[in-house]
Amino acid sequence: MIQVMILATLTAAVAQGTPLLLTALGEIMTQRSGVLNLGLEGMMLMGAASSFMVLVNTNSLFLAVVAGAVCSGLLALVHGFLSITCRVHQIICGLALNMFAGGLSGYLGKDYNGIPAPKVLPSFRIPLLADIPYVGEIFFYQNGLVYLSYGLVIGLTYLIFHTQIGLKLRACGENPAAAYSMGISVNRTRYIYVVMGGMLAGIGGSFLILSTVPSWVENMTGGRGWIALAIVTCAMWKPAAAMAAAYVFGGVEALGYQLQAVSVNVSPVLLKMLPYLATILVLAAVSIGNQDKGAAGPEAMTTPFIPEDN
Amino acid sequence: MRKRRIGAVVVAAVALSMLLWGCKEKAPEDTQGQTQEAAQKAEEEESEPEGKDPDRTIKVGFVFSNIISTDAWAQTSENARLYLEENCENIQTFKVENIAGGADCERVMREYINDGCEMIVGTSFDYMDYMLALADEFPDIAFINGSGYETKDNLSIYIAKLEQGRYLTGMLAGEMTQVDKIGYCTSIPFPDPIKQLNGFAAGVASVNPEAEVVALWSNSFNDPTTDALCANTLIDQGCDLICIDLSSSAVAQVCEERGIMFIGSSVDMREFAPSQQLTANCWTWGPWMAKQVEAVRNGTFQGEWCELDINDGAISLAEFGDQVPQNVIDMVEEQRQKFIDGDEVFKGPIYDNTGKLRVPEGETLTGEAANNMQWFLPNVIDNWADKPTD
Repeated sequence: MIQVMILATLTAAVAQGTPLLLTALGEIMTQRSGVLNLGLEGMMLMGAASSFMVLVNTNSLFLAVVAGAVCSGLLALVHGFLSITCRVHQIICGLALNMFAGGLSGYLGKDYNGIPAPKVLPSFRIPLLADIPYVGEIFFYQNGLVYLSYGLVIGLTYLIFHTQIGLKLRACGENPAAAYSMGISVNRTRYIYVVMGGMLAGIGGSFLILSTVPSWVENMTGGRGWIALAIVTCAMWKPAAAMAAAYVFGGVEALGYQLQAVSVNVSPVLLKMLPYLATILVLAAVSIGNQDKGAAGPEAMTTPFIPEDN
Repeated sequence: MRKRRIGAVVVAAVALSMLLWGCKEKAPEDTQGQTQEAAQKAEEEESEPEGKDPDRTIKVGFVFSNIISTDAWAQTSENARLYLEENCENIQTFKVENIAGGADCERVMREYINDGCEMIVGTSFDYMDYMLALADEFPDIAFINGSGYETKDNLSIYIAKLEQGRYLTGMLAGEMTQVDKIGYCTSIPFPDPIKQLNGFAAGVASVNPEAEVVALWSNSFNDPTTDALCANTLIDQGCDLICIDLSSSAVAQVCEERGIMFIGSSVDMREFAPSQQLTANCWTWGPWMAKQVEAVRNGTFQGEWCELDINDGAISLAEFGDQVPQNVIDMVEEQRQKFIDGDEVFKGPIYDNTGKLRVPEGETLTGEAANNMQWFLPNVIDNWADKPTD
């Protein structure tokens, strides 16, 4: 019984954590390039809404995911234009984007309320890997987007820390003037990663609608964009750590109901608070353990770069 | 090139002048219309100073806490609104969706009152406090709210003896389960959902004393992501049948996907889950609400706590799924007839799941008393962490 419960909780942790992970991975790229995009919640909503509309009209899961990525990518492009080219204050701009996208997704989705999704992302077994006891059941019997997130964690870790491209990306976020003097087009680089970050947030939103809850409800993300933002900081801008944090947050959510179902009476109100408490604790711990730099993130984040000045 | 530009300027100039001309032409008409309307209004007010003309159009304002199509509970009150539109004469209804319980709902209700609504229908437990305050401020307006605990002279609560319907579906569940473990997804542990859960459990116990009912509280009325998680949890725990007491369609969709039987809530949920629904507890308020409109029209409206029941047509079951055998349907129908004839759900002796005697032999628990339950029947695994001790 306990074994079944643990297995179910861990499997649910991966499923609940994946939309958070996808969105956080995108934001890691965005912030590493020196731009803070607070509009994750809005971009996830936009991704979810556009995915659902395309799914209902075309019945194609692939097109639905693409639509989610493209729409949120476009929103991120707006954020890029305002924060990189127009040099608007990034926090204000990100908050504005959130409200705008929240409203827009509600407006566009209003004719799609209360319609069931024609299909959902199927889970499938990865041959061999799925036969590993426990691990296989938890990690390798999931849907395609979960596998995509595994690939992204490995790919982004390699890209950011072990390639020239990653070095340039980090340079734009840490010391854009130096990057500029090395011949890197700082603002173009930032544009690319802001848009890619937006696309991943959109796919995170798609995941919610194509797997977790297969019908559109206004504001269905329920604050998950903000949790993803907390994960980025918690994970110190590292993809692998973001994966762990996303699964912990997803797992806490799932564990609450598993415990309830076997009559271990933990107050549900307490459980709902845990992800946020964890964020505060991790931030405090990281800041204390890392006195000189703290948990501030990339040096030049939120600072617009003006080539003429350098 | 140049010619084309001149052409464009000319077109623009013509368009602009037409626009201005149009405005000029239209403007007096508009003001005329307005004054006419105002005059008409003044005339109306003069002719019926007391507003007691029995043939007057009664305006009824509905407020919904969610988008109706995504919320089964809201759908039941929307059905009542449509019923009024169809069956009452001289009535005009309005609706506003997606208004959370808070200052916003008060604002919307005030606007309705300013616009001449004589009856305000709140459809959510969350509106209770705001409607109580407004009822004091506007004693001439009739307020009614779907669920709640307090009434005033001009504030009614509509709710139903929902345990009757739950009992019937409980019998069905007790017969249909193979593993004697039935899941029950519900919202927040306050007396009304508890009463429904116990009604369901009583129905299960009446046909299958071995079966247990595992309750899971989502702690919200409509949060699809959490609802889906609850359903998945119950299925992972080995339940082979789930009864829903939540407003989203998420549980039904999860059950359909995983091939688990379920019993819907509020409305027929087959739209979301065509094959797995055994039946659904459906609630109908329309005919009762029509009576309230007539009471407002005659000036006899009196606020009270209205518990409708199976005899009012407020409680019914949706069409049974193909997998339900005929003998089970007959059994449920037989019990339904007993309820119509006055049978009660909670008949003593009833012990709770801690072994305490709650209803002594020969007594029944009904009406207001049944709406104070904070304990569970013996076959319920209640999982309520913050259960008050008594």
